[in-house]
Amino acid sequence: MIKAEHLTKNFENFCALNDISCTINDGCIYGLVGSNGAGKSTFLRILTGVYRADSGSVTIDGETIWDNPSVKSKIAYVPDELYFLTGASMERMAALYADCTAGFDRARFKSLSEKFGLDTKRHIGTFSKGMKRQAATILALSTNPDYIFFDETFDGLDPVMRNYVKSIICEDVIDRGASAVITSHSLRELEDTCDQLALLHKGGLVFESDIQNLKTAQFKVQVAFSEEYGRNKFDGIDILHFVKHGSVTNMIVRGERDEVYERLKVMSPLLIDILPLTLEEVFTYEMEALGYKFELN
Amino acid sequence: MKNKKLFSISVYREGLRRLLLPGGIFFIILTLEAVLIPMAGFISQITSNYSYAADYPSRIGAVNVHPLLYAMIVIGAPILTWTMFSFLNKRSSSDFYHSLPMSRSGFYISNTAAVATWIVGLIFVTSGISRLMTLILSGVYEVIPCSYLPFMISCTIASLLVSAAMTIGMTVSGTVLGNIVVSGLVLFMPRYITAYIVKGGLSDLSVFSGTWAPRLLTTEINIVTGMFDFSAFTSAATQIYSLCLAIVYFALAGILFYKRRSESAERTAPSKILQAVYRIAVAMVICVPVCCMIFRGYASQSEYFLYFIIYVTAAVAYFSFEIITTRKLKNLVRALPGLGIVVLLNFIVIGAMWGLRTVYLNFTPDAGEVKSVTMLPVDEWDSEFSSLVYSKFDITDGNAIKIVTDALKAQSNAQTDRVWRYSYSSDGKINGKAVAFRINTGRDEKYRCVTLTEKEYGQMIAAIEGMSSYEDKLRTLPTPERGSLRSYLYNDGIYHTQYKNDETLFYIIQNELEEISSDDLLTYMHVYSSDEYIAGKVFGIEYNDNNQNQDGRISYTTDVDGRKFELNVPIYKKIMPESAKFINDHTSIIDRYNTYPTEIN
Repeated sequence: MIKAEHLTKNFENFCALNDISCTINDGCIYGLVGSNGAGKSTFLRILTGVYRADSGSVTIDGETIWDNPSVKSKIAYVPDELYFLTGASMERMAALYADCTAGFDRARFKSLSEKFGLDTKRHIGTFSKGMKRQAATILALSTNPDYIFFDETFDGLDPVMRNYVKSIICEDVIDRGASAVITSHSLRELEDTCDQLALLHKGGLVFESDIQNLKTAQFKVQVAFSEEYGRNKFDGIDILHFVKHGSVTNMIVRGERDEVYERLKVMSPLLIDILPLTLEEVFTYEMEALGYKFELN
Repeated sequence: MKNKKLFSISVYREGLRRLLLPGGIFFIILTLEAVLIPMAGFISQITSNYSYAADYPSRIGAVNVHPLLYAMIVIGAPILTWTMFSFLNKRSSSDFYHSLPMSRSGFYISNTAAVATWIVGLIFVTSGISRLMTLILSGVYEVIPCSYLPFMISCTIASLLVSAAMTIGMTVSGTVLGNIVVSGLVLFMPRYITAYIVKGGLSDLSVFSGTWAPRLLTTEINIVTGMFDFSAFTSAATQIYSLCLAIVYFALAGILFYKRRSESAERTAPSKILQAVYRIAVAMVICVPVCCMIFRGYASQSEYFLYFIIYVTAAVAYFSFEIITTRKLKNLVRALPGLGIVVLLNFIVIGAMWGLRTVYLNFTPDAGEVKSVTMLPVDEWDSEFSSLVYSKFDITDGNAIKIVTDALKAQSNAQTDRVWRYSYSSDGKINGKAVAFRINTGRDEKYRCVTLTEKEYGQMIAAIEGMSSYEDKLRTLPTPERGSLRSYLYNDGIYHTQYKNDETLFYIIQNELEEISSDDLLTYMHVYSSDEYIAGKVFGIEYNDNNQNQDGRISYTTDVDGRKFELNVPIYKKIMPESAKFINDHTSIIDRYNTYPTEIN
């Protein structure tokens, strides 16, 4: 389990993380979304022991991460900015990982390299950007980690490889109880993979929820009545967003879908339609309710 | 738990591999030099006169056949260290290494060991190749065997010291400029400031001699700053001190590496405080010489203007460093208060000069507090035989001691100006001779210079001559340093070098000195009277009052209290017939117009 409590991190006069607290359970795929400069990468670097928080604490399985090789050996981290040893091939990188990490699986490394179609003897410097990202992903996953941290990794992969990596992560989570933390700019990217989603904004954790909850707890309702009516007609329904054009009203409602449907049906509407929301819409309306106004991809 | 140890063989191996390119290049260069220089000398010798060269091979030191080892110190060590730790200068690489499941200490030690392995390997392996070449070419080459090890050890220690300073620079700075500036400050600043404090506080005093300054205050004690003084470079004291310093620097770098934040990459200083420290240090490099001038009291209008210009330069350097490293104009305003610290440090440096001078001048023991005094060569260029012979005698005579303590007291209180070798009266005649003394109070020994009058000098000599062991010690030549002996035949006004049998000749001379009569001994060591010199019984052995020319001489370096002095011992046929015959028989004369040797009768 990953537990962060009141994490704060400053760079000179800039506050990158401000009092972040969260818990990521084992066997969970945790998505972290936010705009540029929100603090996603900083948070991940603290979780992986690259940075040290200025205040607060972060532990994995109850142990601190900073300068703790035993905890770090359970972690696989693919950062947004990749680095490989100068002139190294994947084989040489694998040798380094194998030396540093007890759980490095040579067979898995070989199998993944074949599936990705990468020549492990070729210099990584000759790889394309996407291939480098694939190489980094292969090396990370070959360590059979308990905790996987991907910082905007999917953003550099083609759709086929993206889906393949997602499936591998899911396999690890299901089969070995691994946990994954994935950051991205794109909610769409995380929607079908993550169990939990959190939103970072200007160093603060403004929103965190189970994805299933998010998807079902809010929905769009389109309803029309023949008589004149106002918003007060829907008192008792938790409305996040209300727009009325003539006799037709579009509402974003939070609550039990069936219950809301029954309540509206009793009012004998001309039209009643309940539609699911995309994750982006859910986030947008939740943020509006919290008083934030910003754009997501 | 994997890798929670202080040393990882895998990281060490990876480190060795990472240095393969620069290390390999240096290996090729050093090996080429180790092979080509002896070969070039060989070819040069045999094309001039092979038989002569074969009979009389050149005798040289390791530094002559493998001089590029110096390049290891100034180029090799910094490049190897920078290559190893350059990952700290970039965010991506810094994050990568900090994310590996390795303890920071183990990572640092393993990588540092890899750098040290390359340094030691390059020096010792290529020196081995050099030695092999000189053995193969031993017909015309004779490299003094004992010259290799001290030279190799000194180069190794110097390289490690540079590497350690560079490592500190890389752990506390995340840019190349910062690495260079901080490494330079760590390596040179302490000695630089010390040298100026000594220069300002002591060097103009008559009671001070740079040769006999406390070792820790000299630039030569640091093997890097003393690199160009070869005898200091290879001395045991310098090696030991510098090795200890390198170990301390490596340990400090390890602590800094442990504490280093990965986000310091690409920043000159990891914090505002360190940024200010670097800025101030850069300014102080320029200010320190001015402190010396101010303390020494140079106070004319042109000097005031010079001080002003130099201080303005220091301020410009101060702000330039800030703007170059941070690229923010607003930081110049924030940097202003730091100038106050620079001013304060100037006062501290001047205060240190005053403090050192005061401590130095306060040593004025009474005669009763001194157990013995010993006359020493006044400086490293003082190769007068008398100075070296007298250094063997610890004078306990009360009157002689009083002469020294009274002179010391008078000159310390008056803070008289430094005397080079002799002091002169207004009519240009010598009226004093500067003499260095080792003053033993029982608790410690201190070295001071005093200027003695002719009469006082004569009294000191008389005290020495009155000692029972006087003549025995005169007959015993100072011990030569291994490998330093050179012998020369004197013919037709030219000294001709003979290349073999120096040690044999030395022992022949020594034996003859032990056997000759007392009169001949004192004649040999007697200087002719002259108005130009202080009259003394034993002055030098370069002149003979019977106007006999030398037949040859031997030269060598000897050690007195850890300092090296050159000594020339002339050979006179009249009193040293065996020595003269030996050198005659073993030296060929090279006609000055002809490269071919001709035998002499």
